Amino acid sequence: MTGSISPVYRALKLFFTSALVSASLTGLPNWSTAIAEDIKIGVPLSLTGPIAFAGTKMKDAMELAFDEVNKSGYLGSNKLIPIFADDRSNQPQGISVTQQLILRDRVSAIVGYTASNICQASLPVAQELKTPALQADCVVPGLNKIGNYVYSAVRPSDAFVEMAIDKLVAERKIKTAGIIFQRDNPVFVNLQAVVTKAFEKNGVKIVASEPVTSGGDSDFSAQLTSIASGKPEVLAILLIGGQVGPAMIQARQTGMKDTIFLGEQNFDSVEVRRVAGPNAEGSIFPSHWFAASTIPGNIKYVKEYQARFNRDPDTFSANGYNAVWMMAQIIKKAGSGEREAIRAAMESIGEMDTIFGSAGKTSFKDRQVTLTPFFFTVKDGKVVSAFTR
Amino acid sequence: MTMLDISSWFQIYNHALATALINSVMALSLYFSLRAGIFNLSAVGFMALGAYTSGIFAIRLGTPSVVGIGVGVIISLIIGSILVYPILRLRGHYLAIATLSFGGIVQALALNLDGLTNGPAGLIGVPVTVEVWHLSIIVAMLVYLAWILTSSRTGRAWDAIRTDLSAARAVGINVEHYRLVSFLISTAIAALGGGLWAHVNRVIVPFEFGFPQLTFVLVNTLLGGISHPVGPVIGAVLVSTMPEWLDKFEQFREMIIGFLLVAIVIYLPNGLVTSFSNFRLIWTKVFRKIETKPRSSGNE
Amino acid sequence: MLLQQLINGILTGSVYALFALGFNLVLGALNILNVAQGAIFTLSAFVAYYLISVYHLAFPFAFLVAVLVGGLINVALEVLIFRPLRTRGGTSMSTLVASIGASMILISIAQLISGAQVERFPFGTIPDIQWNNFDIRISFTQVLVLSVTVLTMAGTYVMLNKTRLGKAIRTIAFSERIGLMLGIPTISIARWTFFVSGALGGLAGVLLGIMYNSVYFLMGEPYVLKGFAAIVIGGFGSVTGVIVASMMIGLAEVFSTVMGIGKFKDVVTFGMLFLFLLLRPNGLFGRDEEVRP
Repeated sequence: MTGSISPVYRALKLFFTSALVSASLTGLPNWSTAIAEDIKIGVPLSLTGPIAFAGTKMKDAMELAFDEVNKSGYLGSNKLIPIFADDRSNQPQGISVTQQLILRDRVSAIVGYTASNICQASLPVAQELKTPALQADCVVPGLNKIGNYVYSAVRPSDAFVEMAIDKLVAERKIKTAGIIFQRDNPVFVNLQAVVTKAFEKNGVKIVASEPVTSGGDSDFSAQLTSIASGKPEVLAILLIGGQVGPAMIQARQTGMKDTIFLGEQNFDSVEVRRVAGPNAEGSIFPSHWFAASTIPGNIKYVKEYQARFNRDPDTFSANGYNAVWMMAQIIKKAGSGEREAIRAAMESIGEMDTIFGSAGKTSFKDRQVTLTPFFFTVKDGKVVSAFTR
Repeated sequence: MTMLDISSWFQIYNHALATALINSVMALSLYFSLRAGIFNLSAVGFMALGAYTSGIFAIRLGTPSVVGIGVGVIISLIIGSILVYPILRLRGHYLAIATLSFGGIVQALALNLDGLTNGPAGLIGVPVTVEVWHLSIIVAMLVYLAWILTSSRTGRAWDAIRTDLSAARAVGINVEHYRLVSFLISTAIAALGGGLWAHVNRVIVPFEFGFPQLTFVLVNTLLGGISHPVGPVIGAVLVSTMPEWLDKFEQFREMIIGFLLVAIVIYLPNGLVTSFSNFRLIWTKVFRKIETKPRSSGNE
Repeated sequence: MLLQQLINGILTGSVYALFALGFNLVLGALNILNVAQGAIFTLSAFVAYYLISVYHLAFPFAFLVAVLVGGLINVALEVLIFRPLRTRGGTSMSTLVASIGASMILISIAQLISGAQVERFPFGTIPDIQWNNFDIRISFTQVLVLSVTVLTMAGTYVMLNKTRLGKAIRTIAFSERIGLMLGIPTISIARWTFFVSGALGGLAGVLLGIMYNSVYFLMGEPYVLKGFAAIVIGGFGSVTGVIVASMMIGLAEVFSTVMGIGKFKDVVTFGMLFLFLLLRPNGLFGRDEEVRP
């Protein structure tokens, strides 16, 4: 049989062979000398896999932002060089690319990440390796507690949805509500708890709270029929963008003709309105950004985006674009591409420009941006301001 | 290349190497089942069990990683022993479906038993205590174990069962016993892989233990082939480093893995490792042509 | 409300049944567990979507084309993958792995062309009529789906039992050798079986797409698992069994929601699958055939 060679020798041979194979396949470290004026920024995103629909949007807008920063000479003679990496929508790869960006590509800072669980796994690595990181798209709570190198350019929408509920109940005297939420996504599971508490705090009775087991589901008839039997005045739809539209349609079909749909940021998307059509009429949602916002920075962004990509920007693009520009402001304050300087700048930077919010300005509090949300409703197919106050 | 270069290389690709080695462990888990002809698709289910158990022990009970991983393996063996009787009575497709649905149940439970597993948000903050050198030793030991078993009587029994089950039974081999052993070894190794995974990746979510991960394990094992215990490891390493040499074709990764599966199954049913040894045989024959001729000339 | 949920359950179950029928056909006749059925389900839905939204084809035509395409893709799989595997001595294990590979290829095609977006049919593809009587609502789309399902099941039953093709398929299912001895062209019958199976899967996909109005590259995944459950519970190779089992699964899911354990509905389905495998692997209507090694 195969017994003539010692198994120990085999194992050693195996290990070194695979190491050599991997080495030749992965390539040697990037020793290319960069010009002194170039500052490398690592951009890990989900470019393939189930979250790719968000990551690819972010990448497009971020490329636009990097080009703008460089062409406008915002950082003087220094240029920002983005190094994009794909985490393939899975955690181990997120950790791997983070390590590689920091150690192999020697980036000065990291801007990016698309999905919450990848943020949770990868940001601690950036913290350990003492590299400043500005996460652009993860809204699960707790990321600002990871460490002094990790900052967030977006924040959980918990507080905004709570505020929306407070205002809604006050203005329309709501008594009953239903909730449908996506069970396999921590953001929505968290929101469900927040929404429940907010309703109860305002004296609203929750007639039903139904889970949807997966982001791939399109059949909500059982859950919505159950909710409809309680005749709620408001229905909180806590689902991913692709499911929101079908949920609205099916909800109307089960008889909830006048129910007000309440949602979060993802209600504001051309896709949802296209899919749901007239069924979205009357829905209410908070938003930290919307395309028609009149902040000068945003007007410029939307125009450039449309010119370059021939379509309207959405929230993911806005998140990516905004984060890059924030990083540019931070680096300007830091005055150098040194990681420590950038970290210190993140800590001490005061007010920054942003395309979010109504004031166009933000600052870090507790390592997270502060934002005042807009509240919108859909009227006659258009998005307009929701509340009188 | 200086020593410094080598050590930085290891630092940079630390996590990628760790992942490749853990994938090797999972591929070896499948190896033991396939060797005995059992189409056991439960690997990812037991991996999840092992991962969550060590995660819970590390985070909630604060025990050292070895304890958590060990308990994970033990629990999986217990569950595996309960399942093994009904499962091994099934054949072919039914076995595959049963083991596949076991994985599905584990994933669904992980998602919904919030009190235990924290649901979709998962367990965060598992201490990263497993290093590449731990993993290398473990993989080497597992390959050694596999080599010993495969060349022993157990291995020969497995080969017989894999080739023709009824014939093996007819010849007096205790088919049930050997299949049980192979299934339980697979279970234990998968749980071990899960425990190691948890202590390398620090966050455990149900999302990471589904069907796509299972297909990945399948490709790893089948690419290298099951004719030699080194096969699954080579397969795992090759496929794990694939993203690096795919580069621009990243978006076609799923498609390429699909093609690989189809191609391997049709054209390389024994995987790469055997093909290499065949190749060596042919090479030897070509370049040692003289020696294959009978030595009849009498000039010793 | 209960009556409405019953209707929901029946509708859900019908789509499962259509899908599982195709699945079961290939399994019963050729002993191939074709996981790619889910991908065909998805691709046909996409074909219908693109024909209607981009090429503005009328629904009935788009529907037919999509179903045909589903059948043809499945035949292509037979020709390119399953037949070569068969000639090289593939085991049931290797055919399953090959079908998994095929499924991955097809789904990534769907993902690439759709850019991972959820698509919907343009408004007005199906007239938006609803009937509200006796406290239940049923829409024109749902009636359409139900009638197509019933017709298809009846048609499949007739095809299998009354036509020559059907009889040939059943003969091969029973024993390929006997089929050969009787002069049945096994290869072309195999291809016809794949065609019908693919058409059924494609039909289910288009119906699902219009019923819940969303077409997404991962839409087929849950159906494959439910398909497994339907085959096991209903009984390998039995048309009636698979239909009954699918209905059971659809109703069980809907009623888990009614009973408030909606989040466990997958566990319920898998649990039923497991129980049957343990206690009655032949399923409800399965042939008493060898399930054990």
